[in-house]
Amino acid sequence: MQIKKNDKEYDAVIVGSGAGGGMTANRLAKAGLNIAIIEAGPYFDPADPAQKTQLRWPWESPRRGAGTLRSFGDFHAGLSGWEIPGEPYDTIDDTKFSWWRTRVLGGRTNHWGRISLRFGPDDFHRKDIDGLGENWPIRYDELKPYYDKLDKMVGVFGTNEGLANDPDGFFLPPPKPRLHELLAVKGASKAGVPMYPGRLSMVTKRINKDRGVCFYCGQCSRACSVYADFSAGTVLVFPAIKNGKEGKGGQVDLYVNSMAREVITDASGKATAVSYISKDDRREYQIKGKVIVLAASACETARLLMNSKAPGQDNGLGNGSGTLGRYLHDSTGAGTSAFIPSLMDRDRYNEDGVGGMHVYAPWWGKDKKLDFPRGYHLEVYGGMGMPSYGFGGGHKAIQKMMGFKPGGYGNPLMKDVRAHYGAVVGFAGRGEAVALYDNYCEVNPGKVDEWGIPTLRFHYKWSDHERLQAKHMHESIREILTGMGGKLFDDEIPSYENDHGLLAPGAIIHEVGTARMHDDPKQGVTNRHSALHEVPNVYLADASVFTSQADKNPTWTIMALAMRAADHIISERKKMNI
Amino acid sequence: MDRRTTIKNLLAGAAGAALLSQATACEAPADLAKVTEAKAAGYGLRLPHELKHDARIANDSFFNEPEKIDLGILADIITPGTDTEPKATDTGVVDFFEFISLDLPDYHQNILRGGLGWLNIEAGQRFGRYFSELTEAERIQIVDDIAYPEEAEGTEFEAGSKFFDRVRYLTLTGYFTSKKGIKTLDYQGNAPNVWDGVPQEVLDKHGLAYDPKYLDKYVDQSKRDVQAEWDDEMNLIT
Repeated sequence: MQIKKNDKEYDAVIVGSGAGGGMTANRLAKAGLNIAIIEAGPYFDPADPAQKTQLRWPWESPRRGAGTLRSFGDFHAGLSGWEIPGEPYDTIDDTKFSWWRTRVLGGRTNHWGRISLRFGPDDFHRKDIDGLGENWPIRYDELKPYYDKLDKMVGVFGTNEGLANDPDGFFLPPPKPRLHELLAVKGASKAGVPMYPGRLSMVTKRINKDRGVCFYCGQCSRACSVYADFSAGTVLVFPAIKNGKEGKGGQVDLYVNSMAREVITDASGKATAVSYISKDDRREYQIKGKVIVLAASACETARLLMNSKAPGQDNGLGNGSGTLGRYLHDSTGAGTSAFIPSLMDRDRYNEDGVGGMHVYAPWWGKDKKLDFPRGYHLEVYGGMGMPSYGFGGGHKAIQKMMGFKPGGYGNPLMKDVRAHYGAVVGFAGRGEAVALYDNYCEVNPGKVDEWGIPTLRFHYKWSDHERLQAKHMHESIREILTGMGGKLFDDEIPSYENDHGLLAPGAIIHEVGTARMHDDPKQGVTNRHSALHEVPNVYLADASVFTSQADKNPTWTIMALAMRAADHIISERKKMNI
Repeated sequence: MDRRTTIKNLLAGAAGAALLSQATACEAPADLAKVTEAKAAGYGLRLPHELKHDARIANDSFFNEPEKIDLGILADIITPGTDTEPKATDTGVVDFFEFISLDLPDYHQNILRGGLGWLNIEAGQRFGRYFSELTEAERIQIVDDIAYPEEAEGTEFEAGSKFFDRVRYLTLTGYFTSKKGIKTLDYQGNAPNVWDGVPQEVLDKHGLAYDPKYLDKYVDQSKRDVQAEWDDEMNLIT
């Protein structure tokens, strides 16, 4: 087979254009480096009328927004999902693991809820606190300057509350809570759970000339046509490309529809190029780089390393520790919802707001005596959202709660459905799991995807730490909803046998840890600067390097670490080390 | 300042310009009134396998004409409309039944087609005619037996009630996601606006108020277009 090699050698080749890849590209290009970005999905610009789904009405989709082709609905900008045609994966034994992939410029940042939480000081050394898992090799103080820069560069709203493990930041002003959120704050307060303004990366106040200010359509998951929400494509990659063209930074070349296959090394074990399959002609190409940055997502990056070799590194590149793919963990997740009778027959007004919660509850139980380690935060949802496929599906349960005979037809039914609109409120807990050696992904021998690349299989079991945490989530959420005067859709907390309602791993789309950071090369894949211990010119800029995932959403930490890794690349280049 | 002027002013600038050229708001401010809805082909970026899926459906069909007539009759029993509201079949519900049955065949086809068969057998046994040939009173007689799933459970009407349940669900979803039907819900969103909290009269009605502690921390929408700056102590100063 003939591999088409590009003669040009870039200063850095970056795999992935999401939070980590986008940030690394932006920062390196600003320092004058010439960059190639390899992205497995198509080019996407939500400002392009032909591509944008924002402000479209449900009837513009013939399936009225149903999730037939996209897990989160037909208008969702996080293209792909847990299943991608032609790109299978497997599970081992009775593992239930769902692997989310996003294949589009900007990666998962087109999908996520923009909940942008810094890790707190405790989150970097949990082993010191509860004896479980492993400490990070770095501490909050080392990452704080990057979080600070990130806040000002990308924009995140919130309030400074002086909470010990939920640090303050350079926040934009938060939007006022919606009606159901005011009720939620009240209900939570009764249950002893303090709620605060949310911390989400939407621009509620001008942050620079390139981006617009939020116009409150609540559709960030469709990607914003004025770039008022954070997506790596619009906020990091586009400006980097533009600056390069204007001579204000290094040149950034974007290779879309390109599926990275292998990191190529020379006889000395140094990485020299990335090999990828073009989805357009199904042929293999190589791009040379002095530094290789992998930011393809935790499991995709691990897969890429497992499918790469160097002299003396036969079980995957940089895997001397044998921990590549190990310590895979996702956030815990559980929740439920209720019908709130006081919200029946609501006055109608536009309460779309930002595309996420205006209030949330950071973990409040640190000093409580509990039967599980670590903690979780609570997210709230509800309101008079835009109807979509599935609308009206809950009417029977509500009729029953209100003491009516479920079912019916005609105008009495229509009246019920309109009365119930906007009267359902739910909470979801998102918590920290303990990273375990036995939860892993590995290459599945003898099975390839449609590009000919060996696929992954997963082994993952929750422990009682996570099950009991989910039980506590249910107890707290139910108390809050009931305190709001709500009637629960399901009265009983799911049993132990049903993991107390804990969602299967992968469901929360926060998988991290497959190439964890550790000072000891025998215990982790990457060093404290996110570089492979064994291949110093390969950096990982996604959540694969997380030693542990906090009860915070990982994106803000992915980007702070990516910024820090980029600065290390720049300083190592100056020292002629790479 | 009235709402329209507010929006006009607040959306000014580069972002505003982008917005004005692409707005599809139904309740557009005065200066947007002349802007026609974006008529881009399709409904946003589609991937190759998604385009193929839609093309396959476009060249396929599922329900025959008598089945569509029966679905329309049932949908209009569920959503008959009023003097001011359209009935289900005026909002394209039958086309939606057809599309969604081809889109999610495993989930919808058997229960709907089998149920239509059940309905006509029942009509024949009771009245000696097809469902579409029954009088309205005769149709309602059957519908009353299948419209309440808890009552039908364990009886000869259980299968019929499961079918009717699906028809009811798809009628409601199809109706309230249609251009005409959504108006009857009075959904007011999907339009550029400047959120400044719950209207005072609504707060009063629910006995709620904003926490005074946060009032000066929430976004001041009159300064939304002013560049954000902070002091070294993380305080927003603009």
